[in-house]
Amino acid sequence: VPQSDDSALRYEVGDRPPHLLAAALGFQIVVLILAGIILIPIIVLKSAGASPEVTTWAIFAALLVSGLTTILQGRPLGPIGSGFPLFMGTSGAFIAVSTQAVKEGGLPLLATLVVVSSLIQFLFSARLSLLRKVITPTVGGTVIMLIAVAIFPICFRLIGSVPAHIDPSSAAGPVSAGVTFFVILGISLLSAGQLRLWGPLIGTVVGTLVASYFGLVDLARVHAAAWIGLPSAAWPGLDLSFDQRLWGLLPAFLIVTIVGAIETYGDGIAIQRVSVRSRRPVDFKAVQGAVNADGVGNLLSGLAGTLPNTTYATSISVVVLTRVAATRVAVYGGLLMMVFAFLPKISAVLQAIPDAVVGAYVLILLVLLFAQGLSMVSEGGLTYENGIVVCLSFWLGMGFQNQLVFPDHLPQWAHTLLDSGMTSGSFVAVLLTLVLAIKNRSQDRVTLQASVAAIPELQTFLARLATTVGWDKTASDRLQLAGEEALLFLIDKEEQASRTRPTPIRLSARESAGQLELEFLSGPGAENIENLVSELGEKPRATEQEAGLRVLSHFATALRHEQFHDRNYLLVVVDSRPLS
Amino acid sequence: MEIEETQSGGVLILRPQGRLDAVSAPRLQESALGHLDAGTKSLVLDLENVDYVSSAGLRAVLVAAKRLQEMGGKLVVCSLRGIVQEVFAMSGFDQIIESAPDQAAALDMLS
Repeated sequence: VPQSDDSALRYEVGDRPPHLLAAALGFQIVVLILAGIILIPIIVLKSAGASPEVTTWAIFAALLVSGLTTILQGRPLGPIGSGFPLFMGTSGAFIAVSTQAVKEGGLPLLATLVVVSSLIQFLFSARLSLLRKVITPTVGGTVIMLIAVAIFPICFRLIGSVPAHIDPSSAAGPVSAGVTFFVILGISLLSAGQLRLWGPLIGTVVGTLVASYFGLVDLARVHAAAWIGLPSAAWPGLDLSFDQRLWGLLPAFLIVTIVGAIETYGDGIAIQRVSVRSRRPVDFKAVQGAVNADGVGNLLSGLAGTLPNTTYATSISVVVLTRVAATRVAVYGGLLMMVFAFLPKISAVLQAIPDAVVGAYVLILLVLLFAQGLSMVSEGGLTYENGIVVCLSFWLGMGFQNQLVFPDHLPQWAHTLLDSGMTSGSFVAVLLTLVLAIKNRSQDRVTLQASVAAIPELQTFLARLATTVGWDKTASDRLQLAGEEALLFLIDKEEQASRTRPTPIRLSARESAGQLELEFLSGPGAENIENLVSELGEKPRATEQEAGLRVLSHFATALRHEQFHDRNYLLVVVDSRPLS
Repeated sequence: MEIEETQSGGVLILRPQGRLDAVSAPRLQESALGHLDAGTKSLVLDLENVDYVSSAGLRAVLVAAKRLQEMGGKLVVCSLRGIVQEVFAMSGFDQIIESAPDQAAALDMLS
């Protein structure tokens, strides 16, 4: 992820750029991501054999919901929304499972699956602080790579598809697809900056022009479509039969929803890194807000009868390129998407793009999806252990997807569950991560009351820990100093929150390579210790408030304070060797 | 925490022993303020036997030093060593609270 340069941002997240600039930038981003928002429902519904009328509804609803949730990201409502310019659009991760759902029960079945699975996203957000240890970027990245693999056949079916009046053996399809693919690829590989963002759009336009030369483009629907109006189909409704089809598909939907939430979790962190002028610790409440808004987006998508949406990582590249991170841009962008929903001409133009061109566009989309999976995996750290988790899950997922793993020995229910490589792969990844989490679990733990009276117990605990790992008295004292200051800080925060019965503080400790990691789990607090430490001046001011922070930051080699809505994690790492 | 108290030519010498943490520091503060209330204007805080000081300990020293300053008196800490000296230095307290290498030097500074 590109880091923000201190002087680079023209407008940071809280700034208010002129309305005209914000609206113009909002428009530019919407044009960039419009193809994604509209083409994904088109791909799914075409592949599933749905009528063009049904498709117009799905596009209409996708634009409305994406617009609304983009505004929510920019202007949060309570815990819903990140407060950052995170643009939302139809999720490519759902292509494979949604196609299957529409094939089996049309938009109503898809809608019910989306509504039901969206609920798990709220649960994920509420328990983000706990689940992040098992549903890690390593797991999420592996599943995203498997999703790309699952979309692969759909993409090549589209590339090979031509209208009835064209000879399937003619060069029309392959040439149009090839031109689209190589233009996007060329721009992606050879250009930099603004142009790279426009690659998919330029490639699609050039590919469509070539396709129209071959007679693949039918503009009849574009001419017939109104400039302003409502979709020709009505709300598809929900499928409330809750039969076998729903239960068969639900596990896969739940997994993709969780993976979507992990993706949003990643985007929620990445957008913060590029949206402020000076480095700040990640605000996990904002990340929870981003995931909640994503959940609301999925819930509304289901209720409205369209595919789920998610945050678009384009939002992050756009901030880096335009150097404008103001949320006003997202508000204008969201409003524009909602306006576009009522312009059927626009969706008709995108619907007129031939399958071969759409197929080539999807091929790039899944290449990028796979790359995003890889990047998430590397974010989790490519250690020996993670390597095993990623590769074993990926290859077993591939094996199950292609029905190569004991297909004759598995009962039918196991086939229903495991034949999706994404489901089986994530199952393996989560299981292995759990095993690793148990292996790496803390060596010792203690529960302390949130009061000064707990200091002796803390010191006894830390002294014993230091002896166990063979540290000398000086190293033990440094550990105890860091521990005491951390506890004092957390107690202060508890007192400021004026709770009648402060939540006890749980401390777990783990040794790793000559260092001891202390993790304090406490109730929610307002101030972030990383922020306070980074605000300390070069020269000590010898005040009571400062002294504790200085002692803590002096004796700890690393400090990480993660604040969630429901709890706080403070990680303090102390080295056995003194710092020079 | 044990606090040894001696007088030397009108100067009060407090020699705490052990650790100055969030639990013991209030005791030192209480003892020092008690003496200041009783009229002591020159105080030496001999930390030779203190092998641990946290920000709570620094706070106790600061409170006593400020009170003495208001009263027109003076506080000197002495015999800082090891981690205690390190904490005084990196928190900047060695810049605002006078310190001496040993008790004799501290008494000289107050005479």
